[in-house]
Amino acid sequence: MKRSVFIIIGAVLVLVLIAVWLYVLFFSTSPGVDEEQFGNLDFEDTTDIDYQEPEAEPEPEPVVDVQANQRLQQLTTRPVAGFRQVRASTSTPREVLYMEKGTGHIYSIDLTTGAEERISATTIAGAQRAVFSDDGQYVMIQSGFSSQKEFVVGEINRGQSTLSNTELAETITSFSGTKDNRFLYSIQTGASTIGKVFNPAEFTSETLFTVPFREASIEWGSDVTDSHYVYPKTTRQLESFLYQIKNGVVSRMPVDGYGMSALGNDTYVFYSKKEGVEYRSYYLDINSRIETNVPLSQIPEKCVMSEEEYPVTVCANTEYELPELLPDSWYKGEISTADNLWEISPDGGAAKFLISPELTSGRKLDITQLQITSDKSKVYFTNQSDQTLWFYQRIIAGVN
Amino acid sequence: MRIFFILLFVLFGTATHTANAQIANQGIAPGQLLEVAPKFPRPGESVTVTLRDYRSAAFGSNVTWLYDGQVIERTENSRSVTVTAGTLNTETKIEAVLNTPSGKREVLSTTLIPVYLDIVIEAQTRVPEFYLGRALPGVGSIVNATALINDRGSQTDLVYTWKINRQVIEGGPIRGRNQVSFVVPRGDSSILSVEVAEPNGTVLSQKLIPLPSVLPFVNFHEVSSLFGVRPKPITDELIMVGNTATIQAEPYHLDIRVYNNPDIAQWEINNSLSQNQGDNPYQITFKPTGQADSATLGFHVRDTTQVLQGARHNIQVRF
Repeated sequence: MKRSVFIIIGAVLVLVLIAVWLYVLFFSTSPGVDEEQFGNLDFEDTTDIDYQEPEAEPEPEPVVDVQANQRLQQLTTRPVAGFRQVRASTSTPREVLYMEKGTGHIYSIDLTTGAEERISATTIAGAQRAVFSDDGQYVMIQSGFSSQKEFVVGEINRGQSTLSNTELAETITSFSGTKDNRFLYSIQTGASTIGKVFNPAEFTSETLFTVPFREASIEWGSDVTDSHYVYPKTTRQLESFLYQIKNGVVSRMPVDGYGMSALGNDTYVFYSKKEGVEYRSYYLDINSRIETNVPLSQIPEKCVMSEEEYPVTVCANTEYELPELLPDSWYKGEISTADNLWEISPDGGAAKFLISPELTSGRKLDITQLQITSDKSKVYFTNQSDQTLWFYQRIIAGVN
Repeated sequence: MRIFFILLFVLFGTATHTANAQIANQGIAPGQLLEVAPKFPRPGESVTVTLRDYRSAAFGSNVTWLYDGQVIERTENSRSVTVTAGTLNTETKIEAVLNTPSGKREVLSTTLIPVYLDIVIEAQTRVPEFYLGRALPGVGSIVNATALINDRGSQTDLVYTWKINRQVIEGGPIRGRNQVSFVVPRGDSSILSVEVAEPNGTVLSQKLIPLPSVLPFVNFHEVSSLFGVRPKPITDELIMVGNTATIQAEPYHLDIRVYNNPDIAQWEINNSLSQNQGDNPYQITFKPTGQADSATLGFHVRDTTQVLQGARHNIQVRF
């Protein structure tokens, strides 16, 4: 063959190869190649006119799992200065309001959906204790420490997520909320303790009672007209005496003793005191004056009693190693507790075990600040160690 | 000494007394008396009424006991009966009817008026803010004592006689002084008593109580700028997590005057005085220095002039 034939064949082959390469380059739609096999180098300015910038998804609201059919639940991981289950109106869902300790920010947890929302971003530095009004509109706050302590009443502006604060001039020693959205509080004078009621809507206060000693512990009732109980602060080394205050009248109750502390309503008083080296608890029927020995050594400050004639009393109790040192040792924070919840029968003679948080959640709790809802279905409380908020579902629909 | 005082308390607190102020004796001869124990019963308290009749004429008498006019069953011819005092602000009449062998009838009676007499002790000593309990007295500290009788709103129309270890406070009985202040005497315990009487001299009640006297002590607590003092004390050892730790010394039952103006309030690290103090003498910001992995942190507070109270505490800090 001539040399020219070889050259022509070679040129044709080269052209065919070039044609194949161009075809593959521009028209190939090979199904075997997955674009995602290639690394996304995040080049900008695509020339693809169909390209759409992906929309950033909104940050999901924190949700507390309140739907779970669990008896015991932890509601917050933040330390809590105060809390209350409220319902602003019958058309609004039930919710829990709480104030974060230290910052004073207020959050609500919707008890239907579990959604948590910050409803006040107003900072109250060093917020230590807070009490909400029953409708969740007002809050009384103690902030600061020692001589720097301040007391304010705030109105929650949900729309603006702020708190309108008004400072109270008095140095308050204890305070509580009422069912009709007022606040009960006490102040000390030179030789007495005065109990007052404060109306945040009108910004007026009124004296309810005076007791002639300063070192008073007060167990406030749920309303101005309920029974309030006052006693000299408790210690194992001095005697205390229980006084009931009802409609401004101070009455001595048949309850006293060393290491005595108490709580109660209009019909019953639950109290504990030192007897020899023992620490014993009693239930007193105020009308019949019948006293029953409660089968627990129980610190009353770790209990809550509902307001009814036959009340529900729920207590947090630990098998204390040295009950002969109670309650002073608990006041000093010197004992560790792994509380269980118990319910004391209305006559005080029996106690029913409710739950062991240690077995249920794996955590040892030092339960304080117990609150029972008006329908008695839930008991809220804080864990003293980290100040987190928890609740115990006492009644579950369809289970109890 | 404590046992001695307890014995004194038992002796005087429960001793039987011849009923006088509360007995409305009705035409009885001397020697015929009813004794009531305790002399000033509390509402609902068990009371023993004893017949003391040592006359020969009464020998062989038939005795019938009445409680507010009702015969007390199964007490016929008993020398004493045990009854329950009534409620507050009520009076209960106890009668012993003597029918002598000669046919003479005599009635002895006494009236029980239950009374609460409370003594509230408020020591002017200091406890931490988070502590729910009451401050206790210490030697040299001031104590305020308040007497509250029954449910009386006004206590100022009565006459009070206060005594500490049998020493009368304020020189004698004082009208309207249901509150007194005094300095705690030396010793582990004292006896405080008060007698309350009507202005006409009728004694309404009396009470005596043991008054403890404790030594102040100090606990250490971690402090957070946001959350304040952590209520749980540091027991023996603090293991530091960060570079610094703010620690507060919290004295218990220390005289308020000493707490507010101590002659000595000093922190020590490994027995050397620390200069790392701010405005609050009870607080220190601890920072590890040197190569060691632990240090001894101590605090000492004391009054050296007036009350002479003080306390000291040490812990080990590991970092």
